[in-house]
Amino acid sequence: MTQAVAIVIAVSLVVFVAAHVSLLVSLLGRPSRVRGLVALVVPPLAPYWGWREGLKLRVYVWATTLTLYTAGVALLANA
Amino acid sequence: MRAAYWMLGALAVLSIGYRYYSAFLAAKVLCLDDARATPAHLHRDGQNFHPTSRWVLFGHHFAAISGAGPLIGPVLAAQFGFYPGFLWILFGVVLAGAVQDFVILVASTRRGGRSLAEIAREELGPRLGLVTAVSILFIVVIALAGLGNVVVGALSESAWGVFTVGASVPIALAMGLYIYKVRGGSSRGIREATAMGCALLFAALLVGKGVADSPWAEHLKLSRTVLTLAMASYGFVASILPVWMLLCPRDYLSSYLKIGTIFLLVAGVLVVNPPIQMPGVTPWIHGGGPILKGPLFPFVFITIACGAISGFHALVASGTTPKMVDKERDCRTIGYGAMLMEGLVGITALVAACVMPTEDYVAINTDPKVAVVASAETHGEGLAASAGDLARAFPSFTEHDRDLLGVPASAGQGAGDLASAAGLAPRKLPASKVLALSNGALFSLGYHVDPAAPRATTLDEGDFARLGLHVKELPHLAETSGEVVAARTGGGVSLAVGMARVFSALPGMNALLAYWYHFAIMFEALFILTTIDTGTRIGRFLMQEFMGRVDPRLGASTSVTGAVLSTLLIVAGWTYFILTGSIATIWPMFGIANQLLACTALAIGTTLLLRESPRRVYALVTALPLAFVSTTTLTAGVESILVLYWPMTRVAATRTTGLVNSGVTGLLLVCIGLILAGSARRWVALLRAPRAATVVGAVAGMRALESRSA
Repeated sequence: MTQAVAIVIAVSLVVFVAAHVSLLVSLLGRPSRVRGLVALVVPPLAPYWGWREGLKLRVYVWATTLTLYTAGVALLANA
Repeated sequence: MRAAYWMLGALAVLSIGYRYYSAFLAAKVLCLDDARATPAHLHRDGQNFHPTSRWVLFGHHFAAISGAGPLIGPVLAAQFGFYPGFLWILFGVVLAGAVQDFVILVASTRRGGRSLAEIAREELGPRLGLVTAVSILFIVVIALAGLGNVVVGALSESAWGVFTVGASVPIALAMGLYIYKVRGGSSRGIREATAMGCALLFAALLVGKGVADSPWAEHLKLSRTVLTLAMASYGFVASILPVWMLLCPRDYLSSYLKIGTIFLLVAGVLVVNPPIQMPGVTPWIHGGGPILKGPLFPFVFITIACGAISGFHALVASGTTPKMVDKERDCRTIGYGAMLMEGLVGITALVAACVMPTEDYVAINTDPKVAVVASAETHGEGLAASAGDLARAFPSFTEHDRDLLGVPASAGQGAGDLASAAGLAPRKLPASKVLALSNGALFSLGYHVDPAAPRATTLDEGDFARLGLHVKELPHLAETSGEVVAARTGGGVSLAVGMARVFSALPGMNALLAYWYHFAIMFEALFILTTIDTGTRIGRFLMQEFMGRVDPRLGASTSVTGAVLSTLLIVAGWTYFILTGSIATIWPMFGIANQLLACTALAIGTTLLLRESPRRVYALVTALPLAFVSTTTLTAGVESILVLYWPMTRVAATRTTGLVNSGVTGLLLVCIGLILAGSARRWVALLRAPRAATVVGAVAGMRALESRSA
């Protein structure tokens, strides 16, 4: 069980990082490019600006994987 | 010392370098102008010449330049301590490496996307052009041997690693076929194949553990020789197959994996903030180190090649990239920016290596000789405590164990066992061979292993001490990673261990060290194999060009005989170096070859700047790095021959290798000496010529090129 949760956590983290990088690259490729760099330092701004740019799928993935990761870590900590 | 603060400092220096120094180069030195048409527009053919978005091209260029060099070089150079590698990467990349890539990219873009060898022929004349082409060919072969050696070191005797990396070949093939045969090359097909490819790679990683614990594992635990030959076969096939079938999908998969993993590692270092356990400077700066025998000067500068400055990049910056540049000003982001990113990769690798205890770093990266039987002469250190113990353990030895130890076939069958054991007593074996013994053999000799388990991952500190290996956290790392990690030279394993330590320290990840370790191994191997198939193909083109001088039919790109022959020659070249060398001999030769190519690129860059930049003094931006890199590399070349390769010729077993290594390194030094002398002559001529005439000549030349292209 612990191993399975740990694998879910790892996969969530990897997908989360991929979604975050993808949002940053998209923001860097659009006007007001500085948002891409700012979102690198302040991660929550990536989904905020991503949503405003219409990158909804990536924002969903970002939020879901972050939730899964946090929940998984909490679960393991209490196990 | 905490890693995160150094990482933040490095990020700040790289940002300042990009914001200010590259802006100065772009505006004042190279005078980038979007009004000047690029070859992507002038020769647009939809195949090689195609205007490409800046960020897409940045990704392509970064994937092409970043092989294993920035990962492995810093790990090996960590033996000198944290500071030398850190400072050389940081200032080398900002002031030399990125400048070289940027200048050569702009030069090639302004010359219709011509290659470095062609630019050299144009600038230095046909003879020196030929010398440049010959040195490039040798450099490619040596570079491939250096990188291939890392894969072999990381995958030897590892069933999990071999399975995961082996699975990536059919996955990449399936991706290629799906994209081009099922989806007709559409972007939707690319997206779908990417998602499937990534998912399958992770599945292979998870399944690999099961395979390693199954009876199949025995068939996948390959020796260095078998692995080298398997890799040679792969390199040959991948270089002959159409690019879309294997090379492109693999390159594509690797790019995603690399960017994502490096980002994850940087984030991991910032979050975990592990302490740097490697001293700032070690006593090995004076020479005699466990991995590299030479002193800090000049060896740190050739060991860390790609992370700071790499001649191999000049081949890419004058190869595919300039043919795709949309606007001239994009060159700043692509040429300078991508190299800074590579510097960041190098710093990340250095940090990953330096967060482990020095004892463990040395134990992983060296393969010391272990006495078969302990004696007073070996201070009580040895595989068996006495000849009697060894004789009693004979019946537990498998055939593989007997081969490793050289135990007579009759031993273990009663009479003469003690005599056989006594005969083995004076012998010494590399630690890697001792640790490759079966658990049954080790258990019968009193080591703390499970005799039924497939790998000796439960050896404790005392067991290592018996063998003469001093370790700290290594037993825990071996147990949790599920691999024998000691005496695994090449840099790949220690990098994987370092990365796994950082990743597994993230919240919720401590139970997954084994997976992170194999993820890191897969990450390294995928990239190196990408470099190997791409590099073999580049080498094949160069070789075919030479063969074309003998018989034009063999030089034609459609010639199957020419392609097969030239690929065979290139593959045979790098396979020979891997089979006959070790990381201690191959990596310095790789570093020297790579840095000598950088000297060539910087010399050509200086010539171009003297002729074309608004002020002659601006040529110093490449001339100063050239002075530094050529001094360090030529010194390292001469020292390598005198200290490393020539002494090998005095021992019968290594005589041929020593002669070949000395000969190749000597030939490269002569080639570069000729190129530098030819360049210096040209600089004197340019400095003596009236300034207006040279600039007018350059502008006229450029216009003539543009009109000819149009």
